[in-house]
Amino acid sequence: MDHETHDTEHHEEHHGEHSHLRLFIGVAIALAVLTGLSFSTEFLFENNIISKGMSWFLMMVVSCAKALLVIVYFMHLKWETNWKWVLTIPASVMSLFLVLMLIPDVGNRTNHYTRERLDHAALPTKPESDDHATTHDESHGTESDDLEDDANH
Amino acid sequence: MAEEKHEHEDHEADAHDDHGHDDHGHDDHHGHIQLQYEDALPIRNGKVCLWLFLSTEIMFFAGLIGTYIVLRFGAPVGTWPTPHDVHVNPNVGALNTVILIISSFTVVLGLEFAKADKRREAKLAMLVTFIFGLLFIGIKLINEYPAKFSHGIYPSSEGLIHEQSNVYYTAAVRDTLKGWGAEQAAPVAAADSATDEAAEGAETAPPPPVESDGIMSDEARSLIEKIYYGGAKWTEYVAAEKPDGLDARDTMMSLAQIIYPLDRNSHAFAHYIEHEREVIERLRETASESPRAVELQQLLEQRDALLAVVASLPKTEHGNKGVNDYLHEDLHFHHIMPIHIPSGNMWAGTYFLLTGFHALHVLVGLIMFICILLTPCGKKEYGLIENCGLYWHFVDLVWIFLFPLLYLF
Amino acid sequence: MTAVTVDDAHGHGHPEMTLRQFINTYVFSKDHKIIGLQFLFTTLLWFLVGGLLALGIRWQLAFPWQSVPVIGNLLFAAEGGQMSPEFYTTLFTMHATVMIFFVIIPILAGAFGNYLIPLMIGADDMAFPTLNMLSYWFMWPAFFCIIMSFLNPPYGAGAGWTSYPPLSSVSEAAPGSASAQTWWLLAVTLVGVSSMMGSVNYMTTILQMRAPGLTMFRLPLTIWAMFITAILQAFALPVLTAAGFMQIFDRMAGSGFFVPEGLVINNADAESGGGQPLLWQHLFWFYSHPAVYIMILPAMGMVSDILACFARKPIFGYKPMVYSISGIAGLGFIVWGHHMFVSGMNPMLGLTFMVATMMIALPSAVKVFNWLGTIWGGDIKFTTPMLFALSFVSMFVIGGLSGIFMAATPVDIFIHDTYFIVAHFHYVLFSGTAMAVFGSIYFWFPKMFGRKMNETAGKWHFFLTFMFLNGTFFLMHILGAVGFPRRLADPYHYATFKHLLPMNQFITYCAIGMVASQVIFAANFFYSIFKGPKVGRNPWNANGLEWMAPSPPGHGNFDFQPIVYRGPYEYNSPEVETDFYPQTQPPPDGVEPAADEAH
Repeated sequence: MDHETHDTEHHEEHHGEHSHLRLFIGVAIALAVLTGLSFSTEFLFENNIISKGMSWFLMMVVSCAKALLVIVYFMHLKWETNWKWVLTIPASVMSLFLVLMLIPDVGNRTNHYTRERLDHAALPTKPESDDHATTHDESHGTESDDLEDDANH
Repeated sequence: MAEEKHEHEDHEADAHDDHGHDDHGHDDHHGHIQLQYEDALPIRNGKVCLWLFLSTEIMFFAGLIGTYIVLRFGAPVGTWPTPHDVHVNPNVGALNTVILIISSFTVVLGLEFAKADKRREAKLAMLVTFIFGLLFIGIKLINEYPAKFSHGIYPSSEGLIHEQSNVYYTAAVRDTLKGWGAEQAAPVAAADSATDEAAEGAETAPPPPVESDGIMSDEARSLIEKIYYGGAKWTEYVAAEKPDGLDARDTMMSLAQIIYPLDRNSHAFAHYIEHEREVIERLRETASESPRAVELQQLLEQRDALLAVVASLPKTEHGNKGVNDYLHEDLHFHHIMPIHIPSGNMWAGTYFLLTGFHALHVLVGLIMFICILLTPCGKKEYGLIENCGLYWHFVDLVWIFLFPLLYLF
Repeated sequence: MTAVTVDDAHGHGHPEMTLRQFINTYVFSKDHKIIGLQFLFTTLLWFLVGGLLALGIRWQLAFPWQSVPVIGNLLFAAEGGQMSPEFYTTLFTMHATVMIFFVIIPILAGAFGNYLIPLMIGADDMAFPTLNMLSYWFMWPAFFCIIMSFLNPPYGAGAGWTSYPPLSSVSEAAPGSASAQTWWLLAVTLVGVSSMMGSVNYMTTILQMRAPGLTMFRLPLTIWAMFITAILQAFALPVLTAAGFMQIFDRMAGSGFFVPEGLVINNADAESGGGQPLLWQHLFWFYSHPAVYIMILPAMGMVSDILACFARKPIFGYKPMVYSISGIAGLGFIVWGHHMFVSGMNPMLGLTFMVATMMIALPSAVKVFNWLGTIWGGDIKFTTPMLFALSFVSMFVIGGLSGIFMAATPVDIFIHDTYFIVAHFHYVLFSGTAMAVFGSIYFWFPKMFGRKMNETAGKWHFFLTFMFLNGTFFLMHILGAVGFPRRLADPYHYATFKHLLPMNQFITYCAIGMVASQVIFAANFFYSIFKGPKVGRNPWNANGLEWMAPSPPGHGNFDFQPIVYRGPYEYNSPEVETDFYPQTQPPPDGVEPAADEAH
């Protein structure tokens, strides 16, 4: 235990020698700027500069960047030893895997809807008022036609 | 062998003290020796445990956010509500994001101060963190959630939010209005349509008095009547009789649009109303030939009256105000007609689930900060502050993903 | 110091104990040993409850609609003592729930995990004793909830232990069980909270508090299994918790996560919709398939220790054993879909899951071969724990092989809703885990209470249980192969299954015999706690660290500083005269310490 405690202290001293105050202020400002950035992708989309899908993608990139900043600097992972990989990577991989595995059955559920479910499903809005929503997602495009005559059910 | 252990005891006790909120420090050292352990991870037990706990939290939120992602992107195309449809204000979301970022920053500051044993500064930093956390919750509870609740946007077992504006929806609106006494409140109308009501076999028992918690103003009463006859009843008439030139589906859409306008339908709505007016003129001329002449005549009048009221409703930045909002905000009538938001119930379910569990985590964080503020916040509390800080950063991390997913997508 | 000595008074025999002291020592104790024993006693009690529920199921299947003995006239006076189909549904739901969530998982992780982890790694307690205590006391609200669910008038929860929507998501879908299902969900969520507290504690303890010299590759396999199990729990359980909350929301708040559009069941209109019932199945099995390994891995670890000890041989292939435990756990995360082959899951996904499932046979086979390699040519001592361990290995082979059948989608489509599945998981869970648990109780009983259990009674217990369990569960394979459906109160309603009644009656007689045999165990257990022959520290001449501590260990576990020189399986080592070589015994002069790679 003796040497272990020593290690710990040494380790903590190591990143305590100089204050990271400036770094942390920088990170906080970067986070605020990135928040503004994800907001501005929404603006770019509103003005038809980029597509909805592109704006989603950009927002997620920005979010991942923000998350990394928080994990690496605020949560001090930059200064930790190798255990950090063991504790963070598996959970991240598992969670991505879980979501991926949900896609065929839940994400694409409308592809396999029965007639009965379609009758009660939420109706897509009229094509003419449907400006951006469907453009990037052709896979479900055919259903809206089937649904047209169900209203009088 | 046992003797040499004792010289370690003091040292060990120190090591244990900064274990933060782990409670390994045995207060009763009666008899048993202090054991030594193999070299392990160069971090405190409390921190190991906290990181493991955060891994489980990652999986918990992966379950929740993953569910949201597949339900949202798998919803029938073009049905997921836009932020405006469900009264989500991205600006408020962004404000809350900034609040959480600042509070995360102050936690880091507090930790640095605690390490340098600057107790007052550390305490101040933790206090600021606490206040910002409180602000986050406050905005949630005072602005965000009430904005949804007051418009009837919450998952409900009564089925307030409808997926389609179909006959079920029309019937639900009609039943709701009937429950509010819309029918009885119109003596003339009731007398005229008495036969029809009897024929339909509807329960003509006096409806329960609704306004137990206030007085229904005359204006509200007359609006409710108009929407009962000119909206629900008219729509049902069109659905049953299918007058030439009127599409039942469009009429039902217009009913939904009158009650709770959706941006994307507004163009179609305006177009339809214009068309309907022409048909109504034609119908009015031939009304007497209809087998349901009396009823039709009256419905036409009520329809005209309703459309006139709708046209005169106050405008918002997104177009006309819905009748639901008008009743609620301008006439202080505290009940809500069923609304049609495609995938709206699912939206409400996921939104409240995700933000609810996040807010719950914020609340736990606040309790932890109260505990920290009760300590001296010195070097001894470094471990405690570090653990709480890690947890708080994680809460921030979750919000970083929730913000675009829920407010901007 | 490490010699076999009778434990002396350790400063704990307070003759006069105030009520407050009693409560602090035995009720709200933070000592891992007391908490372990609390878990052991409560789970054994629930084991009895679960067994009696099983007898209720067996009664209905052997003597359909006949008056239930003893309780029939109390519960179903109006029907002349005959159970209702809804009650049957509640019975099998509760039997599974109790056995899985209140017996097997807590007895392995809670009882043995708690008791053995600090002792076997040379720690004085868990890393977080208070958290440990909380993990036990969080079980009690769960007990309350499950009892509320069972006794809910007029019927208890009846959606099966899997709680599949839409049946479970619509409030009044299962008649009469409106709030029962909500209680059930709460119970499972609370058990989850308890397990989660336990698992982070176990992981921290194993990582941080090993005795000097006890490297990760000198850990007993029991500890490795507990460690991997804790990881499984930590990663898989939160997903079930999330899903459980969603189902509670569906039932109480009116959201529709698992409710399809336009759903009407049993005249109950769901009102909400737009969700997907399969979502629950995915989230549920994301936890519950790893949970299958949570229910078997610790048993495998404990059996490995028992086999090595009584074969007086080092474990064959220590590192492959560790890797196969990790392999099973890793693969266990990516095979959950094999529970859903007939659910209408995407066939492509089904194929992926089928291949991954087949792959699990590899690490499992490695383990079986290593166990056989361990006992091969050993000087086997057929003690009661050894008999149970040997039966674990053989019965696990049967259970494992039938598992390969149903891993193949085409076969599974036929046998999925039949008794073949019931046979399979009872072979793994009862003949496997429960037998390993019995063996482990006999094995570690001397450490827990300082006394030995009676060997003769133990052997009677073993032989009767072994015989009756095969009589009960083996025939279910045959029932399943001819399509006998599970979860039906009266399968004989269909003429095709009428001829299977005698076989079911035989199974029921065996089941009654099996439950009756446990009386021997209970009597032996309680008699031995007070009157069994006293033993010293190391009655089995085993190597593990726990056997170096006093029996029973006092507060703080060790009365000396354990220093570890080798792994726990050095039986019949050429370095020493004795046939065992404790981990703490320093090597004789002139002998180089064995390298870890020697295994």
